[in-house]
Amino acid sequence: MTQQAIDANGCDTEQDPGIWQLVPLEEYRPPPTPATRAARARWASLKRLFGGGRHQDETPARAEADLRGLPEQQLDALVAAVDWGPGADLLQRRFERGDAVRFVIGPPGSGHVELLRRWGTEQGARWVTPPTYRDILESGAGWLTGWPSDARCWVLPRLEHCWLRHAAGLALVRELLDRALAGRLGRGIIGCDSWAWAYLRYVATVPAHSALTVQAFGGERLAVLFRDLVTTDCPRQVRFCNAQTGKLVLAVDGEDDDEGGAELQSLAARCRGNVGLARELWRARLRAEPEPKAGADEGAAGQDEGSAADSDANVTTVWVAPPPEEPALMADPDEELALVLHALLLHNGLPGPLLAELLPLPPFRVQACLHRLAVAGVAAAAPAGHWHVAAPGYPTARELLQAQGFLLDDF
Amino acid sequence: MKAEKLSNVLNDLTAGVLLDLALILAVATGLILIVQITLPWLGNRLRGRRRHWLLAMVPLLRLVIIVGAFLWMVPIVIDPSLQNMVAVLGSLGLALGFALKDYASSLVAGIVAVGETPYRNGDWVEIDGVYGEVTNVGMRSLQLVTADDNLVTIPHLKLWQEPISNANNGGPQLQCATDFHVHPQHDGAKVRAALHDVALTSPYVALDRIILVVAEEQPWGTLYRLRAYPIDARQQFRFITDLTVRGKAELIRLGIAFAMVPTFETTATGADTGSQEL
Repeated sequence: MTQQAIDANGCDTEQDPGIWQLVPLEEYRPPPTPATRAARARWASLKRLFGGGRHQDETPARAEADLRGLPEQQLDALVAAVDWGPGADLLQRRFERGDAVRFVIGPPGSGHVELLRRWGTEQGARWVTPPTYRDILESGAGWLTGWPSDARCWVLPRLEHCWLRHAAGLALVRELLDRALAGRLGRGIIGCDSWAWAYLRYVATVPAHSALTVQAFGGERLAVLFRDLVTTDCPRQVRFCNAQTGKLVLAVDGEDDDEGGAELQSLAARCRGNVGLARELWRARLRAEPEPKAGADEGAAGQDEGSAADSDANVTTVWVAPPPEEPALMADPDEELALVLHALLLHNGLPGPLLAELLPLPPFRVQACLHRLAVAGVAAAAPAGHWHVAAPGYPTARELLQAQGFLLDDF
Repeated sequence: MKAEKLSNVLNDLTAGVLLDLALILAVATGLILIVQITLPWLGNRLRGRRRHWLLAMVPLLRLVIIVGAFLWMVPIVIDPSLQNMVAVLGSLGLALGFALKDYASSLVAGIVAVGETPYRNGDWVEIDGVYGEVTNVGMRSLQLVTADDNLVTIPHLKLWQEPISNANNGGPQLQCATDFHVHPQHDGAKVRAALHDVALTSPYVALDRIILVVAEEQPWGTLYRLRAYPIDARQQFRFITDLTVRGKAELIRLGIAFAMVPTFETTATGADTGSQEL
């Protein structure tokens, strides 16, 4: 049962009993960092400062080399795609009672675009594709005049692709926002990446009161979500155990202990409550027992590929590997790398040649930076040459930019 | 008689006393070296306020170490009665005053500089026409590294007479001004808006600080001065270059003509004719 109320600002607040909450932007609260994680981070930062390397302090319960990655099919069964249906329902309730144009903001990889896709599909909304980069630099009059003019509502999922950090790249987004806020574009929802939103606040009129976001996921809500993501295709009960300590992290249809709660809290803190990122990192850390040698345990091998059969034949153990090491990038922060990362985050990805046009660096230096970032696992390129910050490298990229004093998002 | 009086003032300088003095000197020198090496090394691996705070601690800690060592050594060398102290320190003062006047003045100014902090390590200052980043505040002098990567040593003595212009005053940011000289015939509002956007879209700009476009009419046209802050003071020259390059490109894109200095052509008769190129 959903309880609804109107707050002092005229915004409706909903205390939804489920794990999904849509809140005004200023109410976003990243989960607190557990003391142990904070201490570890400070220690790592000190070691970086004095040029020390990392070394493993503990003897792992299962050496990572002994474990093997899970096949995609099995990963899909253990960590399925997020069901954005409940979030889309919440969004629709907000949209019905709110302004003609609402904004949905999310940090990179959080899944807010999928939320809008789900909402748009359910509501039969028009999907507005962003203008080309040439349109943006030429103020995009043609793109704006081609705006859907029928009575159907619309969704523009990526406002961050409607501008460029270039002296000629702001006119279009200013005009778009002016028209949207004046009600000249009809009813619709605009999605925007949190980094672009943070920047646009300085260069255009953005309405803070109409902006919504999915509330940050703490450890407890992540546990509920991860249980939900285990599909019914799994034939047996699943439990996730820490590969280093051997302790239970999460049990589907069961109770996870305090140690497991701390593990998920730590994950939530590292992702700053970003649910999409938390899912990606969780998925990347899952490991299985090695394949049994032929004839050694034919029964177990035949029952389930890739996972360990416990003494209880109905339980499958999936090992959660330790978080991957931070890219070495942090040990030697470099201004050029920071400029490239910041541009990629502000625009939520850019083609390499355009990146060189926007930055005060020669193209070969930009390419060199992109190559270094790719080797470090912080950036990745789509086949079409569109570079973006890779999900596993995002926390590192954010920390690097924070250390160098660049504009950050609010998430 | 004189020797007897001096022996009353000074303690016996036995081998043990000399060893004590040498040890104190060695410890003080070691501590100063540690402070002078480690704090700048650590500071240069940090950014923002923490960097400036660490760098600014160097001269203060050095002064504390020197004063501490001095106070420790004096009673070992001199019999610490009031009469003796006045006699020895007075003589020392006279000697310094006559023979090493400027040196002593610089030392005193160095102590004042630690207290008043007209410059600290990491500050960008202009003294006597030299502009650069303060890299070392010593006892007698300070060292600046200019934009041309020259190391300039300036005695603290300048503190008494020269104005000291400090651009960031202990903070991580400083204001940069970039000039644009525009032909008199133009749309001023358009230029102002364009230059404002040029600053807003610079990757170096500190967006939380004010951006100003100041216009000033001149006989040859209009001078626009774009004032903004880079994220870090050390980016100032790259920031100004970025604003200049992109500002020019944007004004050209908008069809704004730049003012140019007149060129003079010599005619066949030898008379000069001035013409202004646009």
